[in-house]
Formats: sequence, structure tokens, C-alpha cells
Amino acid sequence: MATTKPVPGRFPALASEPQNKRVVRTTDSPNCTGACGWLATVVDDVIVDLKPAADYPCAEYNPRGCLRGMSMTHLIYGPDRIKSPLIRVGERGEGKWKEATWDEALDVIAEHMKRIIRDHGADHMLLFNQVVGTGYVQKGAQVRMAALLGMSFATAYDFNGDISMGFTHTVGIDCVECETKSWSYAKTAFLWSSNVFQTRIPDAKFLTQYAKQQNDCKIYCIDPRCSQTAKGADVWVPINPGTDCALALSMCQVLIDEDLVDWEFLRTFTDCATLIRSDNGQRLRASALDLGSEDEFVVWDEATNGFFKLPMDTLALPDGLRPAFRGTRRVTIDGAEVEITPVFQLLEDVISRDEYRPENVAPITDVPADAIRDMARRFATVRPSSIIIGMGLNHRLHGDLTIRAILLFSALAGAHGKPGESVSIYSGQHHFRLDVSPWWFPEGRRPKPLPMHYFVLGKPTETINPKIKYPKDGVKALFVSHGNPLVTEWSEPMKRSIDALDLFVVLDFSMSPTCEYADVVLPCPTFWEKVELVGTSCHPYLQIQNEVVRPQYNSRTEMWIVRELVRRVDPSLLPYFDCTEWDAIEAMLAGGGKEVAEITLDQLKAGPVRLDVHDPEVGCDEQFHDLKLFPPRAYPFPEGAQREFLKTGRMEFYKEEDVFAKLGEQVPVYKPAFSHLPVEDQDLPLCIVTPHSKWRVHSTHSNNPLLLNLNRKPVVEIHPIDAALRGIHDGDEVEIFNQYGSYRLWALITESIKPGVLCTDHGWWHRYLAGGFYHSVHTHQKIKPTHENYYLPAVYAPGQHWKDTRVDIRRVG
Amino acid sequence: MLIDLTRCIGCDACTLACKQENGTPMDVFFARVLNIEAGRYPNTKRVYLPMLCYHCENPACLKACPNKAIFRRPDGVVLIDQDRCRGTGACVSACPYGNVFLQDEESWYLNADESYEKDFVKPRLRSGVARKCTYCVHRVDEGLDPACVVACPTTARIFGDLDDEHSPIATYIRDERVATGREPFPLLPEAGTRPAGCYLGPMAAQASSTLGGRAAPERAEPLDSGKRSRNPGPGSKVLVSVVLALIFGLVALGRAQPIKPHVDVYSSTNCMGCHGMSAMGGLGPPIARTKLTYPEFLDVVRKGKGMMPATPATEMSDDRITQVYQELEAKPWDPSQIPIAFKVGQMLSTRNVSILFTVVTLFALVFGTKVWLYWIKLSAPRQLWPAMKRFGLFRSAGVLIRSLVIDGFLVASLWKANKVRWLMHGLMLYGFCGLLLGDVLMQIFNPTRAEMPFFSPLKLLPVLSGAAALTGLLFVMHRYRRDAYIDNGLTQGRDFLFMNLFLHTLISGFLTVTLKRAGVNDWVMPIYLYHLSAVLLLLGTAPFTRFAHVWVVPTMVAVTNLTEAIVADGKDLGYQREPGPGRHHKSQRIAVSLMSGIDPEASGPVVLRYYP
Repeated sequence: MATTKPVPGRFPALASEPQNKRVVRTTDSPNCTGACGWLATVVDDVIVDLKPAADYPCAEYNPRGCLRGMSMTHLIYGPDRIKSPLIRVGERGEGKWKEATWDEALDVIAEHMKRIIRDHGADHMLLFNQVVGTGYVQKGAQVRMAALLGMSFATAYDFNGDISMGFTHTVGIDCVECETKSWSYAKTAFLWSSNVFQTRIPDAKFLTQYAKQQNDCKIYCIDPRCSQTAKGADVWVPINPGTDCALALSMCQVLIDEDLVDWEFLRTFTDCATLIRSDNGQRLRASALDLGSEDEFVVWDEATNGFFKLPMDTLALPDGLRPAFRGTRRVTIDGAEVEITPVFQLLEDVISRDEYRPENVAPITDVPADAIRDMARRFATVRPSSIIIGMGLNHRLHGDLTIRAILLFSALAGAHGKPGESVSIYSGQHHFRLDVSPWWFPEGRRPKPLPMHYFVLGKPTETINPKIKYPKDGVKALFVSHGNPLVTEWSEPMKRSIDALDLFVVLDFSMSPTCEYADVVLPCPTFWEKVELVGTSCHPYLQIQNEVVRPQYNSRTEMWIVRELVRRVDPSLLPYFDCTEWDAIEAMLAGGGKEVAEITLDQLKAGPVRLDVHDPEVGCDEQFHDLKLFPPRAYPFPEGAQREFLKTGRMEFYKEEDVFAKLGEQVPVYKPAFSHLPVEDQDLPLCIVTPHSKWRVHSTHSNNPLLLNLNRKPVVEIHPIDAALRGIHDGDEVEIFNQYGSYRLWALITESIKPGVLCTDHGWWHRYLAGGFYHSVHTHQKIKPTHENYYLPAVYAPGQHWKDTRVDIRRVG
Repeated sequence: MLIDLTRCIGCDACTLACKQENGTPMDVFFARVLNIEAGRYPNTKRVYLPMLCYHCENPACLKACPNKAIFRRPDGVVLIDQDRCRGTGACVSACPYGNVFLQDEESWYLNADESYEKDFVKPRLRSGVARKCTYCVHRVDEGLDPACVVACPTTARIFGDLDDEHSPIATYIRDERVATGREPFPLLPEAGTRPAGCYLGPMAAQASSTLGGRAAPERAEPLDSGKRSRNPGPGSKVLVSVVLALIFGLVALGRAQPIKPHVDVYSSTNCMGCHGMSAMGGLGPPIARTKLTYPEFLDVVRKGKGMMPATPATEMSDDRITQVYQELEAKPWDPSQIPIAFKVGQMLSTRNVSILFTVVTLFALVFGTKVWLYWIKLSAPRQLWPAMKRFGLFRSAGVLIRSLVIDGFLVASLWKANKVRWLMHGLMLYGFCGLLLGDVLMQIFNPTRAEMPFFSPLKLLPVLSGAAALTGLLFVMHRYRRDAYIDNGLTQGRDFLFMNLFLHTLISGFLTVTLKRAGVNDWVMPIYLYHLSAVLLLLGTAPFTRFAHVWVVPTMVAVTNLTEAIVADGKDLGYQREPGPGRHHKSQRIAVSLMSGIDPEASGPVVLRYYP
């Protein structure tokens, strides 16, 4: 509901419409990061109707919105809404609460905080909030408090596993996205494990309506499931889970064999011509040849038969330069003769291996050799060609290798930097559209970064990056804001870590399973009840999220809560919070970088404003258009913070650090996905994928009564053969299990999934399952050392490997 | 509305936009999306089919509504008036698309004290009524597009006036015809509902590229038999043959009966043609033509016939009669002297009239059955069959029969709702049944329609039934005059045709009896002829007028009740999983029909997947 008009009938109704109706333009900011504009109709401070605002100046974006946004009223007014602060009176998770006043709740928290600061230090308190891209202002306020108090801060992005280290290794930033409008131009599109029809609903039209209907784009859907997106695909490629890297490398081989390589692209944008020393596996520095500094690199110019020092201020190279891509040369460095080989040669040595011949990759991937060749040819020749990567590739221990291989494939074809040509991974809204430092990091003070992994593990790993300071007495207090980490695959070990805490505070609007485990629960408004500044990587519009209705029930904004906590813990910091949301937005606009330099608050209040970026934005625009060195800047970190892990300033397909050499991963190679698992896991017959579904944003909306009315039960998709082997019938209650745990739900027998693969969609709250905890079969956490050798929160940090789990399934009862 | 299946991504934004706009209770989805999966791995194909009311030109729901709660606006929008609807449930089964929702009990999403539902949603809605998509006419009338259209993030829905060549929808269809060669198509065209909502097909090839994965063992289970040819099966041929055989048999049987003119009610009522054309021809030729045997002739003269009074022996001796008979027999026969009235009267022998009635009744029965089967078919019984089997065939039959008797014959819902209206219905229904029964009894006990005393039960039954029916009918006609809902924009002509025919039948019937009692013999024959024609017309048109709702509504209600029982039983997965339980079988038929249209070559099952 609902329109304020009577139900249309035979005769005009006499009932009149309410007089006090008002319509408010706002934006929502859930963790799908779609950032859709809405018009909300409000009567008597109740939101009675939602409609897409459809007011984007770039008409193709209209309308934006989806079923989740449309059903938001049923979370705002839903039965799980937290209506007052709650203080635990029973055991953790027992469900016994005392409804408290704000003063009581905040006093309890402040007392704990003061004690922990006094006894252990502020860094023993850890703040963990939902990806902060969803709340520059409100969640930013929490970060501001953490920064000022010196608390530890964990970013959700890497804990979710959305960080794509393959991108960081190659382009120096954890993800690259084109604005979705850019998909329209594609004539060939690979949806690689990406289910955009479910996860990027407002943007899917750029594939269906524009790419397909207008451009006759050929769409390939590479996925072990005939996903909802495969519906719009011309070819469904049901690949064996975890073998995508082999497919990518095989397609690379096809490109090289059939001479479809874009040498000009490799020359300008990649490290393919840089030279690798045989003695130490390091890149040849200009300093070694006395041609320049340690930070400069050389290529061998075949035109002059001499070294050429790559410029480190631009990607542009002189026209006459013909860098050598092949062959090994000898050079004397420090008196010793060293063999130097261009990166491309090393890549080719690997790619050309017999194991990557399409005929040999076919049985691994289950993709016919002809299809591999066709796909590679089509991608290289029918342009523009686009790749959209889904998290199924990335949520694996060796997902970084897969993504590096895909980036290599697209680089060989030169498919970057033009409308409809990019490799995008829409993995979360950590990708800031502006520099939030002026609001988050007052006077440059930052919280102490601590990846959540280490909290869950309960201790640092041996290979932990020294930049990360694990609190000496362990974490004493955890603040979770709008996150629901106890509905991840890793909930059981996390509970054990929480059990060791002195204080566990959760801020949310719905009584989530994480709230149920808290010591104090603080009710926050939904994003329809507070002011926020919203940006997204899906489209380049900056928007205001309005306070459509006052914070409902007894909820308070994060801004207010933070101010009240600071008042109690350290009143000297109060002046930092003596401001409104609008002040925070103005501060961020003023110091937010060139993309927002021209944007004023008044403009934003009037409607969505396009950032100062290329149109269409193709991803790494500054690099591909303006030939600035890689990596693109990752806000809110200062310029140059990423340089250490992308030293050449070019797309790096060769990683020179020892840690890569140790693992044999200097260049992308295929490593079987499950090879890192214990033998007993590898012997399990089924793999399981946990895709996002349209019914939820992670676990948000899991409890939305409207959506539950449609999506009635958690199911596991299973192929008829696998079901028949286990005597499972459609609709049976089944148990998914392995040595780590088990959980129960209902079987859905379907022809749309590859035999040997199970699929349960991600984010179900436990109470909807037939038993157990959602996906409590997750294999033991591993952190790859190549993800620890540098550290920059949410840019170079450990990810997750949720999809590497192997399981079996049985009928219950 | 046109929905482009190339653009649709099955996101259900429309479903929720509709919920948001119309504030429907739990399990009611005016707009919904069928998630269709066809074929076997790896040749799996997926298609999304967004569904909503198609606002048919010939809407089955509207015609099935016994209440005139469903109407069609001049602009083509079909609406259910919630103030008028009484929740009979006939429309639910009648809609072949399953787009009408009716719930006995409503449940809601939020806590009872939440203002959103308490103050804004529930007050708008009456409970216990049938509901369906309104095309958001409250928006359309203000120049806005329906909620599902403005919310569709892939702009797969194009709304407008198909007849206006400049409208977005007409332009889109024209452009797509040129650009992609696609033609719009409706769902289930064979249902004859002529939907205003249509589709453009998907463009993606959906081929599969794989080695096949693990070697697939031979699968034993048979392929789905869902795809069947649309040719009529042998059943209907057998039915037609049987009916024709019956007709010819009855005709032959009738012809084999001897004529007994002296007792023959039709040729004896008025004219024997004794006096020939213009009463000038004397007695001769016509009576000779009748070929009465002498005893019969004697009987006629003695007892009187038509306008001829009885002649007692005191006036004319038997000898004289014998003489006249012989004279008559001797006279030459002049056919030109036979009066027309006599010829007609003779054709209207009991035998011939019986045959005519039998033939018309049988045709009416055949067409009535056809109509009945059409309606039953709308409710997708074949697709319901597996669920019925799971539910238990005996149980199903029980539900059906119970519903036919209680909801149909006893019109229980009206009894509960409004005794006066029930009485009106009862008078007409049971009056008509009485007339029918009277006719049958008459045929059995007095096949030649011999004169009988007025108070004999055989005579009383039709008279009383007729009176009841007439009272009911007059009541209905009175109401028609007063009731603003009567014109539903589609069937008014047919409704009036039925009522007027029925009225004429009843009045002329009574007039015949009265005139005969009053001895106004001159008028009896014409009025009686008129009565007969009216009865024949009434029977002949029955399947096509509002008469049909006598058998259509109870059947549809019975099927609706059966479906509800099956859903409540909860054993069938399809109904458990689908949003808005109760239409799975119809969705299944639509899915199969759609897939065979999109991809006629494909084999393998067509499965509806409701989630995830």
C-alpha cells in the first residue's frame, strides 16, 4: 500500500484524499549499492507509497529501483523493527532483554568504553560497520568517533570477501567498474559468474534493452547454474565450479595462437614489455642500468636496440618505441650477467603450455574446445567486448588468480577503456565516489585498521602484515553497526570470539540474529529516516538521502548516538560532533576531490548530480583516457598509498614479490580450486555455491514479510541425478553437511544446475531454516600470504573463500 | 499493455510495485512473474513471464459473474467493483490465466497496530471479495501509467491505447516488427478471451555450451505429457456422433407413432378444416384428407372438435353420420380447399412438435455442453488433475458435488447474504426446474397431450412453476430497471434477450391456458404457437445468453472450491510454493503453451519455479 485513492469501482468514490499528503524525493542506500532515487508519499509521518523517482538527467537510468526498495515499507514498519534500546539480561543469545531508555543504554556502553580505554587502550574496541559506502555521513560519524578515540576499525568489504585481490594485484585497486550505462555499447559480453539480472536489477536494462535488443550483443553466461541471468544469454556455459582460471588462460592461448593480440594496448597500459631478471625474479629497475631510480623501469626498444626508461608520470609512450615482448636477452648488472625476459614472454611460456590447450582444458572446465575458441575469437573480434565478473569467481582462495587471468585475457584483446569495453566487478560500495576524509578523519586522525578476519580467528596469523596492530590484550569490545556477521558462513567461530568480549553492541533497525547475540542493541532509523549522502559505482550520480519521515519509534540516528557516546566518554571531543548531517555533507563536498569540486549542496537538494567523470565512465578513465599511471586512486586514502603494490604504474601481470614466487603465482596460473582443502573435504562429492538472490541484500530483507510471501522457504537447488542418487524428492527436507557442520532446508530439484553442484542462496536468517545455522559448513578460514604482504584497508587485504566448500547432502526423515 | 520478454529479467519489481500501490493482503498478487524452466540439463531454458489481468475484450470473469460486479469500461478496462462483489468465486475459476484472487480469510503482513496497514491499507479494501489488477485506473485516469509500468526497471512494460497509432505501445509494436521481426502475441488465444495484454518474445538464443558434465545416466521417468496438440480429441467426435444418433433415433421413434387426430391436442384445439378454405369448401376434402376411420369420424362428431360443437344422437343419428361419411369419401379431393390454418395445425401434430422440441433441446444441450466444457476448460482441469489425484479423486468428487448442490442448486451463498435475493433466485431457478420437470412428466404420462382436468398434478406443476418463475422474473426485471450495475459493458444485450424471451414464454403459456379455460378458442392456437416459438427460441439461445450462468456459475464455483480445498490440503508442492496459491495449474498450462510457441522444437519438461 498504497495509493491514497479508493479502489477503483463502478462509480467515482466519494472518499476524499488526505490533505496532508506530501511527496519527498530521496535515495536509498542499502548494501546492494544500487543507490536508486525514490519518491515517497507521506501522510501523517507514515510512508504510504513508493515510486521510482526516475529523474536522472541521463534518461537511460530511469527508472531505477527493484522489489527490495519497493518493499522497504515492510521493513520500516515490519514486525522485527527494534523499537527501543535493549539491554541483555540473560545469557548471550538467550533472548532475554530489558527495554531501556537511551540514557540507560548509552550509560552502560560508555562505562564499558571508559573502563576499556583506561585498562587496555581504545584500540581494544573494534568498530565494524556495514560497507561504509552505504553511509558516508552516518556510518562516517562512527568512523569519526573511532578515529578520534583511537579505536580499531574493521571494514566489512574485505570481511565479506568482496575485495578482489586479483584486481589489486593487476591494477592496484580492488575493483574496477564502468558505469552500467556503458554496458549498452557492448556487442560481446561475458557475464562471468555474474548474475546481474538478480543482483543489479536497475542496471540490467543496459544488457537487455540496449546491448541485446538494440545492438544484438551476444551474451555469454559462464556459470555452473543456468542462473536467472542465463535467461537473457545467447550461450550458457555451464562451467565446472572453480575452473574459470583454466578457461581464461586457455582463451588467452587462443588469442596468442591466432594472433588476435592488441599489441598497442599491451605496450601502453601493461607491464608486458618490462623485463624480469632471471637471477632474482625481480623486475629490472632503471637504477640497475644507471638509467634512473629504483622506482623506474625499462623496456627493450627494438627500434633503437636499446633500453628505454618508462616514464613515471604518464602512460604515453613515444610513437617510435617498439618494445620487445618476446625473447631473452643478457645484460650485465653489477658485474654479473643476468638474463632478462619481457613479462609477455614469461606469460606466453605459461599460457602456451599444453595444459592450457582448449582440448586439454575442455575436460577440466567441461567447456568444449570449440566453444573456448569461439568465445575467445568472438571477444577479440566483435567489439566492443565487455566482461562482468561475479563474486563466484572471487570468493575462492585462488580467485585472485582467476581474476588476474581474466584481466590478462581482456588485456590481450585490448578490451578496456572504451564504452562497452571493460572488465567490471560490482562488488560493493566501498568504492568511494569522493574523498570522505574531511568528515571521517578529522585532522588526519584515522582509526587503527584491523581486518575482521583476525578478530574471528581470535589471534593474528603468523604472516599478518606489520601495519596491522592486533590489540595486545585482544579485542574487548565490538560495535557492529548495521552488519549481520552472524548470518555469514563464518558465524560459529565468530560467536566464539564474541563470547570472549566484555561488550558487544549492535546498532540496527531490525532485530537480526546478530542483534539477538548482543549485550546492548541500539535502534537506528532505516535509510528512509535519516539524511545521508549517497554515491555508487553503478552510476555516477551523487544524491541526497532525505529524512522522509522522522526516525520512527524510539530510534536515533548514528550521528546522534555517536554524539551522545562521546559526551559520556570524552566530552572534550564534543565539538567535533557539534554539527548536522548537512554540515558533514558540505565538508565532504568541499574537500572531496575533483569529482565533486563543482557540486554544491543546493544542487544535490534539487536532485541527482552527475560527478565530474567521463561520460560514459568506462572504469580507470584517468588511465585509459588521460594516460595517467595506474592505479586509480582509492578514496579515502591519499594519493600514492597504492603505489607500493603496483610499482610500475601499469597493469601488472607479473608480480615480483617473493611471496608470489614462493607460491608460483608470479604470473596467473590455474590452481584447482579445492586443492587447498584437506583430503577428506576434497573427497566430498558436491560443491556448493551461495549466490545472492533478488530477495535480499545479503541478509537484509531476509525478514521482509512481503518478500517472504513470495520467496517462501530456503531451498537448495539440486540436479535430478544428484537427488535421485540420494533418494531426495522435490520439496524434501534435506541436510547439507560436511565435517565442519550441517544445516537443514528444503530441496528444489531443478534442471538448471550442473550435476555435482548445489546452490543455496545467501543470507537466510537461521529462523527460516529447517535447522542449523546458515551455511555453517564453511571450510576453515585460510588467508593467502599474497594477500598479506601489503595492507591498505579494503584495497589490499585478505578476502574470503566462501565458495571453496565441499559438502554432501542427505534426506532428513 | 505490451510486455517485451526480451527486456524482462523476472525481477518482480512489478509484483512489489503493485503490492505497494494496491495494498493487497498476503498471498494476493495482481502482478506476478512466472519463472519458467524448460528442457533438461544442459539444454535448460529459462523464461520469465510477467502476468497480470489482461483486461480481455471478451472477459470470462465478467461473463461468469452472477452479480454483475465485474464490468468493462468503455476504454476497455475490466474492473471488479468491490462494493458489488459478493465473493461467489465463479470468476476465479473462469479466468483462464488465474488472475482473479479471492480469499475467505485475509491475513496481513504487519503488526495490527502499525499505522501503515491499519490506517491506509485496510480501510480501502473490503474483505471477502474477488480482486484483480485494475490497470491502476486511478492512476491512468489522471494521465499516469500503472504502478508496475513506472516501476519496471527494464522498461519491459509498454502501456497505452492499441487503437491509437501514435501511442507508445502502437509505435513500439511497429518498430519492433521492423527492427527485430517480432509480432505481439496474447496468451492462450484458444480461450477466446481476446486479451488486451500481449507479449513480444525473447530474443536471446539460450544455447548451451558444455561437454555435458558427469555422464548422464538414462532417465527412466517419462517425458512430460504437458505438450499436447490443440486439435480436438476423439472425445468430442464421439459426443457429436452420439447426439446425432439420438436425434435421428428420436425422430424415427416419433414418426413411428400413429396419429390420433381426434385426441391430438395440437390439430384438435382449433381447426379440423371441416369447411375448407374461407369456410366455403364444405366438409369434404379436408376431412377426407385426414383419412379418419369411421369410428374416429364418429367420435369427432359426437364429442365435438374445435369450433364444431358436439353433436348428440338426438340431432343426428348414427345412420346419418354413416351416410355423410360415405358421401365425403366418395367426393373428389381438392387440395386447394385445405385451409392454411389446418395445414399448420396438422404439421403441429404431437409427434412433430415432440420431434422439433427434442431436436432443439438436444442442440441446446450440445451447445450447452460445449459452452460448459469451454468454461470448464478455462479452469484448466487437465492441469488440475494431478493435484486432484494427490488430493484423492473421491474427496475431489465430494467437494465438487457438495459445492454443486449447496452453492449451486441451493444457492447457499445468497441464502446467507440476502434472503430476498435468494427468494428471487429460488423462484426463477426452481420455477424453471418445475417447468422442465412438468414437461418431462407430461411426456411420460400423457405423451399425446390428451385433455386432463385442471387440478391434475401434471397440469398443476407447470402452472405453479410458471407462476413462480414469472414472479421471480418480474422481480429481476424490476431490479434491472433500478440497478445501476446492470450494464457491465459487454453482456447487457444477451441478458435482456434471455429475460425477454423467458417473459414472453411464460406470459404466452399462461395466456394459452387462460384463453382455453375461457373458451376463446380463436386465440388459443395463435397464442399457443407463439408460446411454442418462444420456448424454442429460449432453448435454442440458452447456451449463449445469461441462461448459461445456471450451469456455468455453479460449476465454476465448484471448481474454485475444489482448488481451494487442494491448496488448503497443502500436499501439492506447486501450490505450496506459488505466490497467491490456487493458480499453479493454470500457470502450468500457460507455461507449456508459451514455451511451445517460443520454441516449438524443444523437448523436455516445462517446470514452474517460484523461487529462489
